[in-house]
Amino acid sequence: MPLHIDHISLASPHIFRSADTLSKETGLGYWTGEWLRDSSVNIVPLGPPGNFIEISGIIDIFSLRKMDERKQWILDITETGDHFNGLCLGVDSMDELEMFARHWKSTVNRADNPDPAAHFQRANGYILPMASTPVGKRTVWMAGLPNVYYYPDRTYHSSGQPTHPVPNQVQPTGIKWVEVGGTAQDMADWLGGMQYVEMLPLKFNGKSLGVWAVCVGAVDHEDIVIRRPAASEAVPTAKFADWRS
Amino acid sequence: MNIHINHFSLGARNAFESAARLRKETGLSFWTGEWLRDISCHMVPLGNGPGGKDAFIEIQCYVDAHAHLKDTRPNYRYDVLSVDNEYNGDYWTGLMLGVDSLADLEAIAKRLGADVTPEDSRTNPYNHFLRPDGYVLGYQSAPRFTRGRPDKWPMDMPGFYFYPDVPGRTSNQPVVAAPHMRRPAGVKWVTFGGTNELLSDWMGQDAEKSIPVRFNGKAVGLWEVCVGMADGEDVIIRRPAAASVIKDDSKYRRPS
Repeated sequence: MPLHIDHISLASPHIFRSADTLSKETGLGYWTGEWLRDSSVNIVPLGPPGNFIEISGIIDIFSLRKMDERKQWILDITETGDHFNGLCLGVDSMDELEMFARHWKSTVNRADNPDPAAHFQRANGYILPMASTPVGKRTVWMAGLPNVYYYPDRTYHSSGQPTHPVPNQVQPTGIKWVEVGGTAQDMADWLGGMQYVEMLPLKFNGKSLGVWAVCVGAVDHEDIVIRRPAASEAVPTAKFADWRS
Repeated sequence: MNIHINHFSLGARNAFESAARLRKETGLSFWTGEWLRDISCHMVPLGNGPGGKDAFIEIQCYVDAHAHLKDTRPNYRYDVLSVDNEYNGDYWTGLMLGVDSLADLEAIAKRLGADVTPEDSRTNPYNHFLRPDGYVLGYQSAPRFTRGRPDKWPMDMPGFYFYPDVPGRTSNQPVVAAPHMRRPAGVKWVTFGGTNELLSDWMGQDAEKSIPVRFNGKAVGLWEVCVGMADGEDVIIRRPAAASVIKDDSKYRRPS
């Protein structure tokens, strides 16, 4: 499988309340306990071929005593509730990932970084090996743009872990489409060609950049459309126009 | 009246980090996903033993940054956890005792001049601990001092709890399997600050004869928990008591 959607990040002011709300709204289950430094994610698997939503938020409020631009952005985009804040694409090889890194004149966050604190950790002690690009002072999410991931071992991919049982649970069958801001040409310019855009089930709404809706199929159930505003609605991407610096 | 150890509260800056570190230290695993208002807990069941009846540790942390930033009231727990220590800011923030009936709980509340929290878990679920599977933890506690805690009682005297649903008890939920996990067999003893006279006065019966407690004469609150293990040596969990870093608690007390 070439370039594909891997996961979508939903920034939350309270990851447990947001997961509870989303679960009641959609019937989608989630699992808990994964964390990275000052943040945790509640994971909502979306079915095959392996997609998920990560409901992410700050769970160490003491870390805010030392504020930085990323934390301030998270606070700003969650002040009025949940916002989609990241479209995360995937590739199937390190070669493909490095190709995107070269395209962006960047490098790769390596999956084999020996520092466990640099990786997501799960409640069972599993440390998630994951490589991504581009690398920069700022995440491209702040500019409303997707980054790309490669998982050297998909055995324990977040999409395949069992959820807590939730009331009226539905069985998701995968992402059908994702609605994003901007235009197909905006995305082609970012990814390096329209051929990449055509690999992705994207709909463009012309609004500010970022994810605005996710449609998920489900067994014996109507399609589930999850709508939340893009982070760029709360904090305009123009604020980070110099992100490449 | 049968009073037993119900659970312990361990305040953490980051419950995810704290629980992982505690498991490395002790082999005690945990489960995740329970939350109430602006906090979430990692739960560490401690097994069943004569000293602790299905006891557990709740490792609590704040998970709502906005609620914290908007709250201008003095916050005892936040101020405690702000003080650095060798446990990344972990402090014991509560010893919780258990009783076997609502009548016992009401008798304790009456003796202390307080109320029992209402049982409104069905009508007001978001005022209770919630689990991802939709379970709402229905328990009641005392004393509830609606007009402020009398000055004679320090901040960290233990609360009393009645959990009517034994299968649903926090201690009876499965933990996450992890490498080097050990099997707890109940609480053997705890170390509490202050004196037996103070705690006995609070409990309405001789504390040392009711629960397996030792006293160290330091600030009131929990200091140590000893857990018996089914697979080897006992585990002793030492963290400072919350009150040990708050010299004057007067600003945290609600006016009576």
